[in-house]
Amino acid sequence: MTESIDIDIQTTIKPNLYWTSLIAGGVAGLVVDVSLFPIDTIKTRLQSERGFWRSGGFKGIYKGLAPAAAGSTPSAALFFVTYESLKSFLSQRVAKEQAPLVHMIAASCGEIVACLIRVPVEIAKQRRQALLVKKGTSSIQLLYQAFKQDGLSKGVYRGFCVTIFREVPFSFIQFPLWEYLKTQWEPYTGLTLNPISVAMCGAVSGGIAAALTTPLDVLKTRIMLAESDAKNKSIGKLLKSIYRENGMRGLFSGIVPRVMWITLGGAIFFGFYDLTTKFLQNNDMKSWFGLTQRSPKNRLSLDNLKNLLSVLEKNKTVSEANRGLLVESLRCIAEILIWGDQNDGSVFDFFLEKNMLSYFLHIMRQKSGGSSFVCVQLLQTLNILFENIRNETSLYYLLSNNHVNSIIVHKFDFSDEDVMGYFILFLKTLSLKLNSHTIHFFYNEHTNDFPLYTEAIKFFNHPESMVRIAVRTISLNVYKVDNESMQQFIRDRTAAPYFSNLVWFIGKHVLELDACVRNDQDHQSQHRLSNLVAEHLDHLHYLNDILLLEIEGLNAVLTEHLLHKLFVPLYVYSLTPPTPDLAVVTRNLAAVLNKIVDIDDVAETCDNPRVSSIVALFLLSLVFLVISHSPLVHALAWVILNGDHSVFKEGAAEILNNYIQRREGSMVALGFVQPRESLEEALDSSSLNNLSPSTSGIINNDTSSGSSSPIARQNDSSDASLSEEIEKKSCRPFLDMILHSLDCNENDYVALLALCLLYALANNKGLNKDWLDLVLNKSSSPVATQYNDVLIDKLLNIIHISSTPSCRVRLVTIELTLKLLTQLLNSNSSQISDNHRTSLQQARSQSMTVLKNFYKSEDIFLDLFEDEYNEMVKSNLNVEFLCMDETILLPPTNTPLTGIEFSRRLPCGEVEKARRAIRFFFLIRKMCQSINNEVEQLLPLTNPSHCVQIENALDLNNSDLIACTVIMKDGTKYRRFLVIDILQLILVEPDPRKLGFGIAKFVGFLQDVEVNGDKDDSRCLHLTIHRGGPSNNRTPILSAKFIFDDHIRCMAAKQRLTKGRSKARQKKMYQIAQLLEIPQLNESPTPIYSSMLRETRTARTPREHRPLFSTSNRIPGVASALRRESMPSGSVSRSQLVSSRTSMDGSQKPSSPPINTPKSRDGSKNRRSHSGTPKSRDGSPRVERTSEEIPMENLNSNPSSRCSSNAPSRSHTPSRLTTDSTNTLSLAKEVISTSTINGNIRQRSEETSFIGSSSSNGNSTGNVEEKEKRRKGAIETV
Amino acid sequence: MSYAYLFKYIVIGDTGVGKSCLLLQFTDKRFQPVHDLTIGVEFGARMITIDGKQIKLQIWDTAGQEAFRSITRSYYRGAAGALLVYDITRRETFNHLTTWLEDARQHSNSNMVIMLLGNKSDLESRREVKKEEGEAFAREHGLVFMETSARTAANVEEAFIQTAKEIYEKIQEGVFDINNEANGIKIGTVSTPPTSPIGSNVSGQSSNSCC
Repeated sequence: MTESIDIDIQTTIKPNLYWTSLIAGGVAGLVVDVSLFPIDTIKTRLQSERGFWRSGGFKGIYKGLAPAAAGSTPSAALFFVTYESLKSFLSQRVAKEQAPLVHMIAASCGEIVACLIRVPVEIAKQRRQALLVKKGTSSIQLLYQAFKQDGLSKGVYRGFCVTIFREVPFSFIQFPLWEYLKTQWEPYTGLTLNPISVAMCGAVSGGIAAALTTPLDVLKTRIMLAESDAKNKSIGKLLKSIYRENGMRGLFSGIVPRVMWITLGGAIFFGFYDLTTKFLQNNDMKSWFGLTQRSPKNRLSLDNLKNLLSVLEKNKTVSEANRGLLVESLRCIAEILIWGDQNDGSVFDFFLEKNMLSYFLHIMRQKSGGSSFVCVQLLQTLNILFENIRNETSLYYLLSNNHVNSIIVHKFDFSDEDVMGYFILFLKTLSLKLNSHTIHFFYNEHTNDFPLYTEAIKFFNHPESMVRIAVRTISLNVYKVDNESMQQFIRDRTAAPYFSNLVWFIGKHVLELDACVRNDQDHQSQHRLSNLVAEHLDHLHYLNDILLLEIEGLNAVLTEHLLHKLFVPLYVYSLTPPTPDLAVVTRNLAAVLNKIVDIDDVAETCDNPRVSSIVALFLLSLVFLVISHSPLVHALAWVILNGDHSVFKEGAAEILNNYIQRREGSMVALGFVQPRESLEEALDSSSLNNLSPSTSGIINNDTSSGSSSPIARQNDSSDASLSEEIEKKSCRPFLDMILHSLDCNENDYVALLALCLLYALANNKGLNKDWLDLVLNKSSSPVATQYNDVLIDKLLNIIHISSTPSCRVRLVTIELTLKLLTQLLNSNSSQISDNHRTSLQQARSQSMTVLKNFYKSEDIFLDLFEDEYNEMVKSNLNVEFLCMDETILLPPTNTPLTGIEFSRRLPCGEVEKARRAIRFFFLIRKMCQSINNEVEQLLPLTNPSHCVQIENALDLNNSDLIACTVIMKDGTKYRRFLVIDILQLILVEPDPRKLGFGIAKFVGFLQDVEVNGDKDDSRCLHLTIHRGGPSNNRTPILSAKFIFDDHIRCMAAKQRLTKGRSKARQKKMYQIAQLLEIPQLNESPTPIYSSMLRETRTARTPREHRPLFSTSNRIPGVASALRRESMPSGSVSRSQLVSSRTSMDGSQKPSSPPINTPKSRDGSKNRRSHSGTPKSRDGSPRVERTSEEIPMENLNSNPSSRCSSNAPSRSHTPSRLTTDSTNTLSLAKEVISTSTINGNIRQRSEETSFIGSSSSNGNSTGNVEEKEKRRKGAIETV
Repeated sequence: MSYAYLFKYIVIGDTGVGKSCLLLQFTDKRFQPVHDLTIGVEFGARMITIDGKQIKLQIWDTAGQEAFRSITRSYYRGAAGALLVYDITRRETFNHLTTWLEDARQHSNSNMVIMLLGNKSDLESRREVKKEEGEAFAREHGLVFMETSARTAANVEEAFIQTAKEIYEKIQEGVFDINNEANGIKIGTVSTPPTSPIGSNVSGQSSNSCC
């Protein structure tokens, strides 16, 4: 436990402090002296002048126990009382760093006081111990004798000074050490402090102190034992004489027993002290000494509450002495009340009857020392009370008299963090209890008092964010309550002051944000900016939450404040660059019109604070993204899209009138200015004077005199008036500015933000889409521009610029442009004009040209390409999230060192440029396809539906299988067969139900395979398969060691994997080439492909495969056996396959006879007989079992191989690839893959393919579901 | 009371998982848990010592604020540490963890230390969520995990202190921007100055005084 908590606890137990330490000290002293008396005796005798043996040796070791026992209790008690009270007194006044000093002083004073008793006792005791006393003399007589002989100071208090001289240094060392050890105990050992650990601290500190102060002890013993003080030497001389007589040993004589004694003594002493203290504290001191009545045993009972009440009654004034007691009582009261709430109704009756809350109030109002300490507890109690109460009636009881309101208005010491926290959460807890019934406890209709709300909103700009959050919660909880008069009060009395101050607060915050953007062109204080943006968003969301509550009157006030105090005069105002000559223009105008215009006003507008146009665009986007309150967004959108500079003079009141029903004239003056009164003042004055609706929000600014006069409602058909309005306007500076910003010839800094704003406008839920169209399009005057067309042109221009290789447009801008463009084109009922279409097509071909430059046969390009595709699929641009990102406020950069996500900055380096080109290509391709209503067919490169999935059952007859043992990183081993497909690597285990089938246990893409040999074991391969695809997980999907039966198989596997990998990649690169319409690739396959083909045609490869096929006895299934029979050469040569396949292409397929369908039984018998060949069984132990239950389709899929061993060519038919999806022969005999991707490539690359088919048919005897799950197909070898 | 740092914590999780009880158990030990009486509080503060430094933990459990979007979003941001609590006797509270975590990750600053706590570990007989599941979840999402009991006070202290230690370590590593109070860390008024990152003027001064 820490020191501060120590102090805390000590202060809480303060009233008991004296008693506790008195008793604890006494007990401790007694125990020590009695138990350790013998050691003390021995020590005294050792130090005596007469020497150990002459002083008595071990005889009569308990001599002097009586006086010691009699004296130790009072002296130890006196010591601790002094020590503890001085410590607690001093530690409150002294900085914590000086705690050791406090302990030293307290201990020394304690010692001096204790010595008043200890010295006489010591004298009596030591004289007895040293056997200097005649038998029969009592201790009292002894002291009396000494008194008579030498007087008080020289006899009874002989050696007082020297004792102090010993004890004080001792305490100086021991106590700070002890306290220090105690504080260090917990951090170092991690255990809580208990009496045993306290005892150990005491032992160590005592031992050290004892050893160091031994010489002083020797001195004291000598002086005390001297019968008369004849020599009266000074202390120094005495020490010297001891040193002369006995050397160092003399000075430190008795050190061993002394250290032992004090170590042991310290342990026992402090241990017992702590134990007793704890014991006393837990057992409620009060009952022991009759401070109060006896506490009942049951803490949670009505009786105890009565006791606690009497405590409150007796301690009406808070003082240093009783505050701990009070705190404790308050705490107990809370517990009992909650217990009563759930168990015993009478508790609340009593609480109410005795009006106990008034005691709380009374305590709270006292400004005595440490009041915040009591207040914290009080507020905690109240919090606990209101938070944990479940019973509705109990709540009414608590609220019934006005005490809670009095507590609310009490001015606590809010500078104390804890008081503030408890207080605001107390208000929040109360606000959560508000409903149409309880509101009357808080809101007084007659006096128009609503302290809960008014007190809470005073903290709306508190520096602590959690407090602000609580204030917002409280206010929202209040607004939510459905009570007419309360809402009226809120609107009339508090809304204007609160909202004007809130808006000002937000505005100041915005200026801060702007300053941050201006000063942070180098991305140096992104953190701060990010916080400012987040904070601003919090404000907006809060405003939106209020608006969403749909409280008409309140919303009207808020809307006006927002519009006239912030959005128009600051945001919109900042959109257009400052016009320094505005004053001049006005003056000229005035001259022309022969009117006197107050130029100062205009000048004043120029002096208004303004933010950069970047920030203004950003802020407006946020407004439209967050707020959807229809009148507000309409008015603001109108101003932006349609307004001109006159809006700064006239305000948007006119527009607002169209949307707000019961608007009573404009009351809020235009201008971003500080409210005249602070919220607190405004609230106080309005509650005091009961003024008619507060006017504090209104500033009688001359500039706004025009707008403050109520404007007659315009006619109801707002559309009509609006279109008239639009026709009149020809100058739309704000819209022009936005459109102008879209120009990103140089870079897209402003363009992105303008796009955000346009997107937000177009997607705001509160804005009527037709209305937006109307504003944008309906410009009947021939001169006026069709803004929609202009906008589309601008957007297309961005796309065009982006397609150039050296553009400085970020991906996010492109994405947003395309998004907006899609939206605009879709909403436009008219067809997309050909111009637009061609422009997009041009951009696409341009992007392809750019990308072609990056097209390389390097591995990384494929990875980049697929990665970017996955990224694009995953990410769906969310403009709301985009606008939470502060980085878009800063000038675009290209360095990744800023930590900005790739799409939100410019590419850095070649790789990123390639990435960008790829991504742009995807985006524009998608766009073009969507306007042409095309469906994507070439992407993604891997069609997952053509891939083998885990747990698929595969027909592995005719496939190359390599048996291996897979050893995972964690040591687990699996026995598997390795199969290599075109794109995938598959690990299978034999299907127990079907011979020749395997179940895929693992699949991975060949392109992601990394193969490494093992230099120590030639049968070993290390395989790592990286994770491709749209996942964030970057750990490899497999990283394991594969052990093969011999090094030849191992080599074969390695070769196949490596080849498979490069082929898979080549295939994909070819696909990309197709996508990019790279011409030479379109005409002929890549050189690698053609060479492969040539190779296979010359039939050189078979040898390589030979061992695997012919000699492997690991190949399960009949097919291999069959093959051997059918092909004496022992191998399925790829060239043969190809040639047969190509030759068969037209003829073989239809001619393959439908032998199988009706012969399921025969087939299975047939098959069994085949599988009977011993060779094939070796490797597949399950053959016997599986053959029993071969379902029919198994036969179906491989009919020819089984039925006619003499027709080798037929055995290949299952693996035929065909693009003809309509071929229904699959039902009976062939499984056909419908390859949508690059059918002809596949054919040429003549690799294996799983032939997915839905060929299961009704006549099969097998389980239909089973068949669904299983995947039928055949695998053939590479 | 002076402190070197103040860490702001939030406690999140479904209602009824014992968030406020955990909080009270940590901040005010004098409330000894009694059978069939659960008491909680939404705010509390306590001093602890880490590495010889006094650190004040201020814990805000702002339950009942879920109704408003503005509140939930700002709530997370002001905290340096979060305790994500579920109830081991109620499976659904465990199932909702993902949602809580998403919310927290989305709105909080990225450095916020999140600790996962399975509360009510004293109710072993009614356990629905295995300890291993909690551990697995924590591992998956990179959280520290403990099972606690507000009733028996088991691990309560440790949970808060462990979190504070992690925050403290992050400060030492310079990950946290301590000068920005929005991160939920406040530098204390008195006591040791914060470790300054390569303070050129500081070293300059010290070299002057040396010479």
